[in-house]
Amino acid sequence: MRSRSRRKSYSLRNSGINPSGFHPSQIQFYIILAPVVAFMLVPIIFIVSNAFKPPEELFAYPPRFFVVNPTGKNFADLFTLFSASDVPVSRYLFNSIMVTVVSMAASLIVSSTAAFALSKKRFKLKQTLFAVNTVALMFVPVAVAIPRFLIIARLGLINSALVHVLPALAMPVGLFLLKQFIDSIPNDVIEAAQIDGASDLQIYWRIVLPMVKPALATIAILTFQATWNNADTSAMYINVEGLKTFAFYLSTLSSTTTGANLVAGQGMAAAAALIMFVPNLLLFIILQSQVMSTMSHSGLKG
Amino acid sequence: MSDAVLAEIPPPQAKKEKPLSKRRRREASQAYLFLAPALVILFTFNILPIGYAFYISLHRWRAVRGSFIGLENYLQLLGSPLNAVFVVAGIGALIAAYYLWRTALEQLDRRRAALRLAVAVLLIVGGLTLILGVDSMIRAAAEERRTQEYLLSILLTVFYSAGTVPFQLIFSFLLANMLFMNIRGKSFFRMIFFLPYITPTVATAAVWRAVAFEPRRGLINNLLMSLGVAQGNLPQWTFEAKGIVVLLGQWLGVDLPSWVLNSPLLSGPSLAMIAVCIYNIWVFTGYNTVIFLAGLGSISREYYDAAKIDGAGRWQAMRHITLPLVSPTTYFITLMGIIGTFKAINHIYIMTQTVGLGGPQDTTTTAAIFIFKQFREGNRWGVASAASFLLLGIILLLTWVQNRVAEGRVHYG
Repeated sequence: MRSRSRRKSYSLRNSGINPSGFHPSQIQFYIILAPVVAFMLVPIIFIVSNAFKPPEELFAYPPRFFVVNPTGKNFADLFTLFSASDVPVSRYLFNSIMVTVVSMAASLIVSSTAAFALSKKRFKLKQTLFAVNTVALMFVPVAVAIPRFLIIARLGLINSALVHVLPALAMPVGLFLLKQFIDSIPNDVIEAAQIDGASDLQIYWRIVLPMVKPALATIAILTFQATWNNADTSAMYINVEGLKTFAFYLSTLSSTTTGANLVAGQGMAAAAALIMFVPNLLLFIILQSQVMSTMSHSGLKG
Repeated sequence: MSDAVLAEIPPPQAKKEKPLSKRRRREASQAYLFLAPALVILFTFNILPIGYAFYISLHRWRAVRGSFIGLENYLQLLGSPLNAVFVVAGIGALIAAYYLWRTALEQLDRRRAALRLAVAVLLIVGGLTLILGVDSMIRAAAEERRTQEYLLSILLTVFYSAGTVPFQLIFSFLLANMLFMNIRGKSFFRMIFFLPYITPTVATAAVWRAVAFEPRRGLINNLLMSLGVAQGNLPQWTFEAKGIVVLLGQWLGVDLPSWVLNSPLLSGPSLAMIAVCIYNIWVFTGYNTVIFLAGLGSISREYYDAAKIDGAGRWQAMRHITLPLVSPTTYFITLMGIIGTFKAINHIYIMTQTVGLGGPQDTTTTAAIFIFKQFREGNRWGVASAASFLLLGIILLLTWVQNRVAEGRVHYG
């Protein structure tokens, strides 16, 4: 139903370029697109199939795309073996899930409240603050890695679980996107609510948040990617094995090139890579349409 | 991006501020209440570190603070101030050439246009010579190792940007246009193209290194062998430190003069760097395609209909409607792409793990990797901070130049 009406609208819009639906003239595009799709997909096929390959297939020459004798041994190894310092893998996984969930929730609240104030409130420093945020958007993370390290050390956050969450909440892109979105909510709507006696908190929660869902979805994905895939925080700020994350563990697995467990290590790395990938994929599929609409809506026009 | 994006934001209230009424003051205090968490975090983890970095960069600082040394760290990185002067002069000449070139193309008088083009060409040659002069200085500064390393890392960063951003742009623009032509399964393609971006870098970079670029049994070398392009001498990809120009010379059997072989600029990016570039293009082409699709979608069809009535062909419509109207998106992607290459660490880290970070022979040590190495491996925090500030300066300069260039060319239709 939905796709039909969409196609119809496209056919109207594209009337000059292409007829609606499939047409033999489109074959040329498929011929060009097919190799591109292959190029995009091949490494991802490897990530999926490698996770199920037994060692002899993993090291086969030449590398095989698809697994012939799938095995769950890599996953079994991953969860039964202990890392160098006797921390079970499930612990890393648990840390990652906790950190990611808490960061996502907190960053949604922190950036949306700030964006609401920046967009709909009048106060003196408004423009300055927004400019500061825009400049922060352009900074190179590595340029502030050292002082950030010193500040985090001085705050006593080294080896604390909070260090996974707090820096991830400073997301200039998120604030920026959300402000653009909230700007497009008419002031009349908010004033009408005010006249009806709604408090700021009610306006924020009942009116603003529901109207900027696509931007929230996008920020959820951005925060997810920033925390779920983050190995640096564990490497830099955490010295206690039990507080490190799964992404960090994966990075140690794939860098282990010496030692007796090279073969098992590669299989485990492949399994761990798949575990890393699947939540990314699921979240993206769930939020896809929202993210796409953010892209066409957001600051990209300007 | 800042200016372009800021252009969309309504200007501050132009009216003179009245003395704050009670209601206004309440509104402001509520606003700060809403802002507080974000502000505290932004200042603690983003703004404060920037000031702190400057403070560190003025000291001898090796894990612990040493004596105050002023700008010595900066001088150590840049070497003789003359280097900087030459580079700036060279870039200035190139910018001047660019403006002349543009005005020349608009000139109606042929002789004047030709004169301007000639001067522009001279300026390009002169500018390149000045920059190349620094190239020889990079080599001459061999005894000052750190100067050499830093200047080289900036050159490599430029290679990295030049080897990725233009390709990303061209590929994604073409793909987006193709997808936009209402072909079946558009959202399927869009989804596939987005996959590289959402797949964790740790996983994909490792796969590219171990499966695609593996020198003995990797996919790419297999492909090259089956095509008969390379037989005995397979390219070593992430293990190859030789520049692409040198390798092409070998492959074609051309003897290159030693001043080409020894010049980091003329011998081109190493094959390892090109492998990193290919990876980067793989990750971002699809992402940019999706952004371009959004940009194309926002162009009103009426323009095309009008153009068609006026008898414009498809190429003319592309040249005079699509390109100008999609220019804000192009600008955004270019800027983000360049800043991205200046920031990049993770995938270079993973792809060069087997040959040592930033290897082989430091040919993938971009400015960001250089800073990382000074910080982590050398514990030279003062030097690393100074290098960060110089890099920051370069990024701000680039953003400014791009804004200036964009001013006349980006159209907000």
